[in-house]
Amino acid sequence: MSAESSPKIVIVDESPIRAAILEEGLREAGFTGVVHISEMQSLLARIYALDPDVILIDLENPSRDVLEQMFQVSRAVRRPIAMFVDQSDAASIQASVDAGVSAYIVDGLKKERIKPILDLCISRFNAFSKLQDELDRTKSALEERKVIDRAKGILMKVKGLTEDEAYVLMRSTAMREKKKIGEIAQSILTASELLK
Amino acid sequence: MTTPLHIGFIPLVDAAALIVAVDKGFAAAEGLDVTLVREVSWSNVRDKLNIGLFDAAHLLAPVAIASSLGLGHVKVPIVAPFNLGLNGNAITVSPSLHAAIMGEIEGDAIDPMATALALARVVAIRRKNGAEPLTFGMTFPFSTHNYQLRFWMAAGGVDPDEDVRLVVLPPPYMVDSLANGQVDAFCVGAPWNSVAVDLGVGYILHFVSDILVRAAEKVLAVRQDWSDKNPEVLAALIRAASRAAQFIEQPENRIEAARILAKPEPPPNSRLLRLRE
Repeated sequence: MSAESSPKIVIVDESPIRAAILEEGLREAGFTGVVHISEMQSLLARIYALDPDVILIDLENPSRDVLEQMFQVSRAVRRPIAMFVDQSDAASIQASVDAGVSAYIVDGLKKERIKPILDLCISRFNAFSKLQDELDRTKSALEERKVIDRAKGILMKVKGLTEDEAYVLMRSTAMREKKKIGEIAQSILTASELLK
Repeated sequence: MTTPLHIGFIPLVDAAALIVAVDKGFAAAEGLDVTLVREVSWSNVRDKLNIGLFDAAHLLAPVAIASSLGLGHVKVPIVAPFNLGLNGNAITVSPSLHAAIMGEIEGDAIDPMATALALARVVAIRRKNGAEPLTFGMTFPFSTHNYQLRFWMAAGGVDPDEDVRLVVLPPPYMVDSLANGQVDAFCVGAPWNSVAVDLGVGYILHFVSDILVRAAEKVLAVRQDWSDKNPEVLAALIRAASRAAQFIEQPENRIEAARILAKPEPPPNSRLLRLRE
């Protein structure tokens, strides 16, 4: 594939998983020249050395401000670099900010050639946050389960209850106090820690 | 009826008026339900204000001007009706650059002109010896920090574009970068200069207020179109910020204000905790 058909893309992201998901998507779509930078030290030097056509950076990355410098210090860059977003791109910038990613392109690269890259980037970033949310939910559900089990154990020991009775007691207390069962379990753990 | 507002900020001491306005209930008393959103870069604050995800923002004063003029980015007219801070920046240098400047100084080290002239001599010596140009960290292309560094060194005859390197660094990375030699000096706001001094990796060469008096640092920024549509909400927000600023200004409230600012956990990428460990 010639350079004309496959622009050189740099992904600046400290999350290796998200970067891998994006990189894979770009490769599948035929963009072969993809480089991932995860190390933020001497970021600009690496970017200048790679000389990319497109730079994608996640919005959680404080080094985004470092990239902004490239538009001011033209002496150090071989080609002027401009933001992808211009006045007419309100929808694109909105979608990319919502997804948590920002794109920069080298001036002169045609907009219609960038559109599919950015669209892909947005959808992969959204997919990643969905995965992340699910993972967080699963983790906290697991965590809550552990807390409930430990609280059950304490009630069984202290009050001489069976496992079922201990659970029913926590559940009815939760309903009465309009709290989650996990919160009741946590208070039992806290109280028992204090009373030790 | 309360008005919900989303306000973006960068965790710096000069966001205090906004943080205290929310924490002490000055905003709520004005009928504002403010959600403060912590950001990691000025680019994010600017973009989210521009596209309307934020109603208002804690913003570098020069970014408000650049955004209104369309410099370096999309043109979005910004109104900055309230100053969140005057001055507050300092120039901190590494121990070795400090020693070099002190070795060349003629006159008083608290005189910025004397240090600027000494810096010019240090730069000339380094060039003669074939050393790498000195690197100065600052926070954003459109920042007071950038302009203040330039103003100071240019006064001594150092060309900021030719004789040294000026690089953008996110404030939480400043101290780390000074410690590991990535930069020889930086200009940044509180608390990062004090952090460098506490850790023994830097000397505060000048408070920028010694170089330029009453420089507008951060502003409360809103979009012009938003301000045209919501003049009363904006007035309420200004009143809340103003009450918060008056509260902070009372010496007896300083400790409480500091506690309020210290409340939120550091941003995920903060290197501060790692340094302190």
